[in-house]
Amino acid sequence: MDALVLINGAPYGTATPAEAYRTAIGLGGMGVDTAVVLVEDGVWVAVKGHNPKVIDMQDLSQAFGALNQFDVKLYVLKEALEERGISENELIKNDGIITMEDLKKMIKEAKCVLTFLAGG
Amino acid sequence: MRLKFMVRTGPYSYQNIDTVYQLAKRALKRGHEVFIFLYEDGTLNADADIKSLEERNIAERIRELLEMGARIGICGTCAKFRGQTKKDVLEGVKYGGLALLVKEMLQCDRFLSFGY
Repeated sequence: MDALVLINGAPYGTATPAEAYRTAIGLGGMGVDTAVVLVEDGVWVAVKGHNPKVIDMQDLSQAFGALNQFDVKLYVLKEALEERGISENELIKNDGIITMEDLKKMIKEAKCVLTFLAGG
Repeated sequence: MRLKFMVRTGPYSYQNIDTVYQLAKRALKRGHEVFIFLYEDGTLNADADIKSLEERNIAERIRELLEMGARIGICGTCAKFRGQTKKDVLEGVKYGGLALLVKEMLQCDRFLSFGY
C-alpha cells in the first residue's frame, strides 16, 4: 500500500475527516494504492444515518461509503467500535473491521502514512 | 535520503511547523533532500506578510529553508479557501495540488505527516 490515511476525529466537529476524504479520493483517483482507517472517534464517520442537512453540511458517511468508487479501501478499528458500543451492522459498507494488531502491520507496511488527527 | 513532510496546521497556534523547520534544517545540513507540502491551514506558514513582534518569524524560517535548498509546495486550493493569493505567498514556494503531493510521496524515503 502506498498511502494509509488515518482519521481519529468525529465527522462534523472539525473539518479533518472531510479533508481526509478529499485527500483520499484524490490519491485514489490518481491511481495511488490508498486505504483509509477510522480510529478513535473517527469510527463515527462510518455509522449509517447521519443527518447533517440540519447544519448545512454534506453527509460524510455517504461519502465514505463511496470510497470504493475511487479504488480506496475503508477499514474500521474494532477496538474503537467496542469502546463506543457501535455494532458492525450499524456501519456503512466497508472493507473490513481490523484490530490494533492489523493496524500496526498496515502502518509498518505503508509507504506513507497521512495522519488526519482532529486533536482536542 | 529524500525526506518529505506534510504540515496541516498554521503558524503559532501549533508547534508543527517549528518542529518541521528544526528537522528540515538539520537534514539539509547533513545533505539530505527536503520537501515540505503545506496543506490546509499549513498554507499560512508561507505567508510573506507574517510579522511577529519579538518572536520567531515563521515566514523567515521558511525563506531560510528555501535558501538552504529545501523545496516547499503549497496547496493552491487550500490557499484560496483561506483568502491567500499568490502575491501573499513567499517567493520560491511552489503552488500545486494533490498531484504534486502524490508525486513527492511516491518518490521519498521517509514521509512524515504533521497535523494536530
